[in-house]
This record gives sequence, C-alpha cells and structure tokens, in this order.
Amino acid sequence: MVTLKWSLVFDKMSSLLHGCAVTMEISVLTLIFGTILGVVLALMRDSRIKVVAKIAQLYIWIWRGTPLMVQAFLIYFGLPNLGVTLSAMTAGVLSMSLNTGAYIAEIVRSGIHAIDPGQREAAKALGMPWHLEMLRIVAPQATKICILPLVNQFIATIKNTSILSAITLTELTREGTLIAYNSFHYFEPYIAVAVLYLILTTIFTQIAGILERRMA
Amino acid sequence: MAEDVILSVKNISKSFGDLQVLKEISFDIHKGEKIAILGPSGSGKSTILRCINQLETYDDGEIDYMGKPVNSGQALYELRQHIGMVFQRFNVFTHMSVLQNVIEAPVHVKKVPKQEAIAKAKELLKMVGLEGREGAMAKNLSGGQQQRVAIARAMAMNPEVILFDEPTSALDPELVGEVLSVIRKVAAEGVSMVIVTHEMNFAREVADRILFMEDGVIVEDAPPEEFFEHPKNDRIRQFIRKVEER
Repeated sequence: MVTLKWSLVFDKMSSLLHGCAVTMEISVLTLIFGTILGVVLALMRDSRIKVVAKIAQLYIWIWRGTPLMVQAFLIYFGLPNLGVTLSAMTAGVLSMSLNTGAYIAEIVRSGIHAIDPGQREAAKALGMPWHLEMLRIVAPQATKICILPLVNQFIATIKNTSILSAITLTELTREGTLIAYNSFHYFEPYIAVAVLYLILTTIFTQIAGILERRMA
Repeated sequence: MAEDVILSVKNISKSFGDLQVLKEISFDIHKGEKIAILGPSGSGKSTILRCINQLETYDDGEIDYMGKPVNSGQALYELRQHIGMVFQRFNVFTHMSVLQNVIEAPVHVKKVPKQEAIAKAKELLKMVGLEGREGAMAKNLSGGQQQRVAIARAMAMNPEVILFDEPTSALDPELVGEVLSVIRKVAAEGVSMVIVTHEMNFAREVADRILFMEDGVIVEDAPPEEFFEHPKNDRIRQFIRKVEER
C-alpha cells in the first residue's frame, strides 16, 4: 500500500519558499551580470579589431560548448586548488553569469544586426561617433528586439539554477533534496519543487506573452 | 577660384575585388556650387559620393576639406558635421518623431542648446512643408515626407555641402515632385550640393555643373547647357536620349 505524506511538504513550506527566493535572487543577479557580459561580448564579437573579435568568439564557443554543471564544479570545487575559494552563492552566481553571458551575447548581436544599416549610415553621416551611434540609434531599437528573447533566456536561467544544488547552494531544488534526505520520501518534496518552478516560470511566460502582444 | 574650394576629391581609386569601380577620380567643389553627377548604373556615381564623407572606404587618393586632408578619427567626425547627406532610402530614425530626427545631431553632436535646436528645426520643417507634423513618428510618414524630414535633418547641422544620393529614386512617381521642389529651395539657400540623380530636367535646371561618369571615370565635366545642347560624344548623346525617353 502506497502512502504519500504531503504534510512533509506543508510543514517545510517556509524552507521551500526560502528556496524560491534564493532561486530568484540567483536568476535576477545572473540576468543583470549576464546581460552586461553579453553586451560586452556582442560588441567585441563585431569589433573591427580581429583579435578582440576572436577572443569573444572563443569565449562564446567554450562557454556554450561545455556543460553548466562542469563549469560550476570548476569554479566552486576547482578554483580552491588554485588558491581561490568562493562561497557557494558567489560561485553559483559567477558560473551562471559567465554561462548565460555567452547566450545573451548572441541575442544582443542578433538585435544589433536587425537594425537598418541605412540608419546607422545616416548617424555616421551626421558626424556621430561610434558610441553615440550605438547609444542613440542602435540601442533603443535593439533593446526592443532583444526584450522577448531575454525574458525567455531568464526563464531558462530559473530552471538552470537547479544545477547549482550540486555545489551545495541551498536554492529551491536543494531545499527539496534536504526534505527527502531527512524523511526518505522523495516523491512529495520533488513534486512540490516541480510545482514551485512551474509557478515561477509561468509567471514569466505570462509576462513574455504580454510583452509580445504589446510590441506586435 | 582656388580660394573658394570647399572640398577636393583627389585621385580617388577603389576596387571591389577585381572590379575597379573608381579610377583616379578628381574634382573640386566650390562654395555655393551645385554639381550633378550623371551616368549609367554601375558607373561609380554613388560610390564616389559615399567616398566624400567616407561612408565608403577607398584604396587610394585623398579627400581635402578646406585644404586639409581628412583621413579618419576626430577629423573625419568633424568633416561629417560639415557635410550633410540625403540617402536614396531616406534612412530616417524610425524610433523618433519628426522633430527628434531633426534635432538629434545638433543637440548630441554639436551640443546646441535644445531650445535653440528646436526653434531651428521648426523653421526647417516649415521650409520642407512639414509644419505641424513635428510630433508624428517618422516611420508613419509617406516616402516623400520621410525624404523631406531627411533633408531638414541634414540642413539642421548647417552644412557647407549636402550630398544627395539619388534622392528621388525610391519614391513613387507622384511623390518625386514634392521632394525636388524642396531640393530647389535648399539650393536657393546657397549651400553647395552634389546630386547623384537620374532626373535630367532637374539636373539641368539646378546644377551649375554636370559631371558625367562611366566605368569609374569622369568623362565629361561641363555646364548644363553645353552638356545637354552639345554632348561631347555619342555615348553621352545616347544616354541623354535614353533617360529622357523614360
């Protein structure tokens, strides 16, 4: 006879909600740092200086071509061998940001490339230096194009943070695992964790939907 | 004559791969002068125009502004502030209103106080017949209106020279007239102009000088009466006839 103890989940709801908060904190920080890194990488990738473009290309190739979990292991477990010890939170946000930055670089780049080259020429012809052309003409239009894919990237990030439970970071998945370890019940806590992720991602999917309709 | 030369194009050459599109092109642009560049498609007309403000790179030669060579860096940005450009496809800033398009460069490049820039922009928009449309989004205007915004935008920088790159070629036929009449008004303001165009009658009426290009070379440089009444060779005679037949 199978007996499920849902009270396990409800008794520990405050821990699970705390896990949600940590997950969101990591995700938001990752979005901020990842976007900054992504913009820098996108600009480097299109640089006329070949070495700079190559460095960005190499970075994107490595970070997109290796698993996030291995990257997180290297930063959290590997770096101490080189004398750099980071807290789980710092290592988690760092590895997520470095990884997400590579993906956001491609989003930003496609946004920049979508801008009418004629308008960029017009900006140049008016005497605008590169930074003004980017800031005044390209950025306002590219931002609009990038918002939707960025929200989708953010949703992927929320789910990817679960990998950080493997470096002992007590986010949502790890909170579920702790309940499981203490009770030997696995089904109920992981169902609860899954439902909470679903709620988080649904909220942002809805937001993406609203943005999409607004911009259409 | 030499002292009133604003721009000198000196021995500009350019190749796209094996194809040499400009072969040692040289000519001077004098203060207040209106030059029309005519010639068949692919003769290099637009390319030489784009080389003047260096939107297009060139392999050899030199562009002098007020007697000084302009290569790159700061001097290039300054050169571009003195040379306006009007494009075939208008290239208005689609995320901005009509007024914002016109004040953008004066305010952010030249650092003109905003109120001053707005006052001047309103004057220019009146000149191009867009009075009252200041708040409209540029992208919602017709092609002819967009091109008139682009002309006002170029004029707002108080340029010494305005380059027109086939300014009416992308327009519906019924909108060509309104843009040409605005260019006539600009000409009357005394600014120097270089116009690449297929509008023969317009070139004849507005230009002081016609340059005829073929295969990357200027084959004729003459006042309009001479160019049209006494074509230098059969090729030019043929060209004039063909274009007028359209």
